[in-house]
Amino acid sequence: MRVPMMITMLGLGVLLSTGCQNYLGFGTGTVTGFEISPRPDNSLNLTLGYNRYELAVIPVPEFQDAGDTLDAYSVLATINVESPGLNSYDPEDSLRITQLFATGMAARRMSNQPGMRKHFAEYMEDITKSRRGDDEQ
Amino acid sequence: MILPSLSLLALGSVLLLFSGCIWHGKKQSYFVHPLASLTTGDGVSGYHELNGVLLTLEGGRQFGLTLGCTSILTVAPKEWSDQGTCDSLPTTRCLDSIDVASHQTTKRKFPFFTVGTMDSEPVFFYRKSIGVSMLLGFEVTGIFVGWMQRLSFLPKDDTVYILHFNAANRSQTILLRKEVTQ
Repeated sequence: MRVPMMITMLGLGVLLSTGCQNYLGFGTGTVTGFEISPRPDNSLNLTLGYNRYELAVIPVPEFQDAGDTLDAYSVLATINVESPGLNSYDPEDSLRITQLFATGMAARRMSNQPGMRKHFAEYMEDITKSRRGDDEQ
Repeated sequence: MILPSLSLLALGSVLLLFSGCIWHGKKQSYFVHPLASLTTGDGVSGYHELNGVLLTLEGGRQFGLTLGCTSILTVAPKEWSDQGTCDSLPTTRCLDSIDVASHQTTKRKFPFFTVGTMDSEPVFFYRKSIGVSMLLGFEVTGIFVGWMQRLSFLPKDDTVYILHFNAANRSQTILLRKEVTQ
């Protein structure tokens, strides 16, 4: 009885310790069943049943200000996620992701480009029109 | 006594034949996959996809043990300038102008051992499995029982990425990158 308990505690300790990773990332996850995994904030995530999530992690370096050549994790992104419904049996209805993702100094410099500003303005206009269409329905 | 042992040995051999092992390196991955399907692609992205049945072992950047059916996709970006689309401004609208079918080559392999090499470090990972998965590493950490689908995008600093992914058509994944200097 002691050995399985020790192994379980050791496994939980490993899971909790691996939550201390400092990197930028985007992810989605779907689980139907059981899941135990660490969260970015070093807490533990337990799921029994169905769970779906989208997650973006943008860490900020401690005690470090951004400058002309150093950036504190600026992000410029458009993220479009289409996920199938829980009761969907259509094989064409699958997870689709389309995204533009710029980090750090690339994000800062791209935000100053007129072409990129125009792209984001058009992108927001498309989203606004799409939502208006949904509301009218 | 001998016949049941031989039966177990035969069954175990059959199970191992449909299993797979992966060692995830920085730009190279090593696959041992007797009869498990390994698909590689090159063009608008560089990818490896291992479809394992029954048992899959992983090591290196990502450690894992999966009992059940699993599909593991690893994608590395290609340079935006090589595609010649939408001038020099990388936006998702330019994806429509990319003819994936003519740019992407796909190869399916069934040998026992394959070394997969990518032009750059992979930053996009997708996996799904039915069964029991115990995973620990850069991409995903956790214990999963049942049906699981996970997607991770871990970009490098100071770089722009364009990504288009369809889980139903993974060989058509587009992942392009561009370093912005001005």
